[in-house]
Amino acid sequence: MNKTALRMEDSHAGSVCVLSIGGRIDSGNAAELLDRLNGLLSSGEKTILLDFKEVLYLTSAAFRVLLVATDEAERNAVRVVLCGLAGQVRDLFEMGGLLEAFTVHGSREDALAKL
Amino acid sequence: MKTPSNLIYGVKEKPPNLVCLISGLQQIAIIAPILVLPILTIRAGGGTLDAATAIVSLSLVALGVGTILQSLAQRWIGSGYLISFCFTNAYYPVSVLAVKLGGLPLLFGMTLFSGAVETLFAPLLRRLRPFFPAEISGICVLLIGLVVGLLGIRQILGIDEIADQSGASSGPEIALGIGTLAVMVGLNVWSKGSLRMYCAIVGILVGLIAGAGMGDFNGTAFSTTALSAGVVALPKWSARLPHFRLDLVIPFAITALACALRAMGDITNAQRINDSDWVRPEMISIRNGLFADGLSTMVSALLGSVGGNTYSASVGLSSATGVTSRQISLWTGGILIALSIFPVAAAAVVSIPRPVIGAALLFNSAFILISGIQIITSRLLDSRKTFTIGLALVLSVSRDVFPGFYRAVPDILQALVSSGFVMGVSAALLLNAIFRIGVRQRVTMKLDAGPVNRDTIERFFTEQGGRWGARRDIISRAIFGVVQVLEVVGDIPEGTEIEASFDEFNLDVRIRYKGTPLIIPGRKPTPREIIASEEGERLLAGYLLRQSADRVSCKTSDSASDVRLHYDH
Repeated sequence: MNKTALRMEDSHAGSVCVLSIGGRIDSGNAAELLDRLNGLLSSGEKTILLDFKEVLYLTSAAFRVLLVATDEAERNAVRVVLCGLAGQVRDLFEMGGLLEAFTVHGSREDALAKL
Repeated sequence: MKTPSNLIYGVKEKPPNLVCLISGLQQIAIIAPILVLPILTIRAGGGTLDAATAIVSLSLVALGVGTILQSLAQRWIGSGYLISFCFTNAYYPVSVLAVKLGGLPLLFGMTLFSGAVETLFAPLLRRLRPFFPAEISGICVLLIGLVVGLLGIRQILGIDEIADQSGASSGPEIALGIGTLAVMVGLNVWSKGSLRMYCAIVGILVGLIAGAGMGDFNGTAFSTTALSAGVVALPKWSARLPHFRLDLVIPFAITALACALRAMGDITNAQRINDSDWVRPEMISIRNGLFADGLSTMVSALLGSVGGNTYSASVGLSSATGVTSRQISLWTGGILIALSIFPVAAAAVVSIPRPVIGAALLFNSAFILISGIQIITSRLLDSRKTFTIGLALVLSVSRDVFPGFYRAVPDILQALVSSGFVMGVSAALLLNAIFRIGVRQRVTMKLDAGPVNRDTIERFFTEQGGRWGARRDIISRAIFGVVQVLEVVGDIPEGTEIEASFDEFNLDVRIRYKGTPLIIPGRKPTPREIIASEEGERLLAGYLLRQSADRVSCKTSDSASDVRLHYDH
């Protein structure tokens, strides 16, 4: 399997739905991520934790998808929280000034302890 | 930054006041022998004893201000490290010349000019980085270690090159120097905690007591300052207009560059001492440190004294004692300024026996030398660097081995061969510049029309990065940059050409395509704008490119666009 291809796997930790994301997120696969997030929103989840620990990098297309999904979640009273931002991925969030646009925690454990 | 385990107080830590006080006094103790430089300069230039003694107090203020400025960690000024500011031998010959030719007004003007040259050099440093690589900073530190060590030996043996005198210490004086050195080294090697922290000042105190017992006290220096100025006196500042001479511009500019290089070496050394993960010089701290160093020389000139520089022995001392807190600089600077109203105290500092001071300098030189070697060997030494380092070091040593030959060099080149340090560093800079010929490597790839093939781009950059020895984080940023550009420009029927060129300090990527130019906005788009339309996403793409690359530009001609991404390496 190509290690840079987008990978997504969801699981539950209590009432929190955790979506682990891996690989790169760009214009070629951003729509896949949006579909998955819309699916979780429409399935009635109330808290969604997006774990970026395995993400290599993400482009502007991915940021747009995340912003659109978070906006939709707010309208449906669903909390979307990000964790596992590190290295180049965190740098890109900082460069785009987008850390303030999301609720971000350090590790998955930190996030689950606070949710 | 990771604080090494051998440091007792790291650069950002705040030691107790007593530790700050004693560490500050240790710093002043090793500055002591250099405090006579302004006096010697003015007297050698034909100035009166009164004129020479008058500047001692104001010189202390200049050193205090300079030491504090260097410790600042502000946006534009200060390296943020404990590196005392001190008068330097580098300025001695040109300053004497200025005093002889035009008195104190000319010394004031030319020293002011020299300080300004160093401050103007500071902001250019980032662009000029390929010409000032880490191994040249290492050579600077190594040569400074040699200079400090040789100065120490001269002090112990009683050979005073500065005053243009020759002579030998007596057997007991040499024994005093060796004994003091033995105390410092012994405490540093076999003791722990406080004794290790204060090994230099304990050694100096032991040397002072032993020296007093032997009747070795520098009475001349004491009488020329304290007895003529009194116990307590406010520093007297005389306003004067600066004078300049065109024929002194080059010697003073070269001296400023030599001081900048020495400051680079000292700051690099301080960075390495304070970070166990140190890999390469951190240029912003060096730039701000150079600015502080130049400004301090300007302050010194305004106060009527001579030019100064970062003091390598100060870094060596902080490494030896394990106390590198920048708080010590504030205390050192404060004590120096306070001492300026007590001429008798300044005289006492100047009066420490020469062999004792020599021992302190020799003690510090060992740490400076080893730091220089470590900086040099931390780099991958290819044949270019091997010749640069090897030839520069041999040339530097040849200056002191064959002084007669270099005295016969034409006047126009004398400034370049004025000392082994200047000569070695100048040779290293020249060789490094010559060896940059042919260092850049270039590869090109063509992407056919169709969706962005990210795997091909990643493979191309990863493989080339491996061949070039490029840093992985820089290659990752370049991959992101290219993918992001290609996503925005979309499918180009004629395909896209990507060119990457690399040398040790730069990775440049050019992306050429037939199509509309990329928009690179100056402001970041708001989340609302990004959500609202794909135009917002394109603005974000341009903004991310601007932020992730060190430089980005886009030019268009004949419907062809050319995006250039530059990454500092």
